[in-house]
Amino acid sequence: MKLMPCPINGLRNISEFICGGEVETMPDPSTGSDQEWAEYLFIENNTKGVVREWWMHTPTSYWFIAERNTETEEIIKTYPASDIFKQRVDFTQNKS
Amino acid sequence: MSNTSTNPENFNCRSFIYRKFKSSQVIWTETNNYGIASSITDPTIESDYVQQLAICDLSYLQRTGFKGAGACEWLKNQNINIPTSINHTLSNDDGCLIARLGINDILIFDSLKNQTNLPIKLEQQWQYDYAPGNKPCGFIVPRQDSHACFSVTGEYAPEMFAKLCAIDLRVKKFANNMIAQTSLARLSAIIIRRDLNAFSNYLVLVESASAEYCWDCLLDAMQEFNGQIVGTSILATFSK
Repeated sequence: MKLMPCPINGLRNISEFICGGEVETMPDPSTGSDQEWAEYLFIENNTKGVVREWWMHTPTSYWFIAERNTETEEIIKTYPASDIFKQRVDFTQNKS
Repeated sequence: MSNTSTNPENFNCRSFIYRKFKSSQVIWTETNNYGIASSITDPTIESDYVQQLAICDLSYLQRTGFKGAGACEWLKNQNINIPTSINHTLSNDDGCLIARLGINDILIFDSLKNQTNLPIKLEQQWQYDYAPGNKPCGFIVPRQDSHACFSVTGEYAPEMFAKLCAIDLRVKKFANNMIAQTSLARLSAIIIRRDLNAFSNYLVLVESASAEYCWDCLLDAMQEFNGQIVGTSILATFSK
């Protein structure tokens, strides 16, 4: 069984986790085009090598970020999403 | 405590797994309209079971949760002792069990020995305090109907868990008052070590829809160690 370190719960079987896809920069909520949103939501880069992904520890519903090598299956490191996302996104509607 | 009966269907509220209790010897006691399997067999025999390996259905035990920004601060203002570390528990002054599942995720059990109704009181207070303009106090995470709660007790409990769970729950590795949020028999579960007097005791919380499945899995794993079902009264006797 592969093991993954959860930032909160420690080393656990990989079966306790699900992958949520690549971490990408969200388009600007006010100005993002349909094309940008479609790419953000649905298109995966499928990179060979080191990627940064969302993962969730299912028993705790805890989402965090993992960096892993898709070629060697090595998990390089995991950390809380707050290490990257430090500001709350404001979704106020652009009325212009 | 008031009414007793040998038929759980005489009570308005019943455990998720009440149909699993087939013996006519089971004594059902009523607390807050809830039928509880308080005694399965002779208390002296149950006392021995508890020290070896026993399982008890504690789904009746009052519990609730609070989560989100401000939840811990609000609970501290309600005189609740909050564990300083995630995945640890401690006792409140009134004997209630406070479990910290995350930075802002708290699970609260009523006392096993003396019913305090603290979870219900906190929910009522929260509804009063949760209002625009007030300080944030998180949100309620109901745990009473969403989760079944079982207690697995005795010397052989860690060995039994090793058959169902990847986490090392042996007493020397998994200290008293620690919590593991993990998979148990492929179900997401919260496992809390909460010793009763001198012997190991683990609280298991699983989604209520899977309660019967989990109960059966635990009983199956316990067979190897001659594990038995016990009533709630004997656990309350040993509870601090």
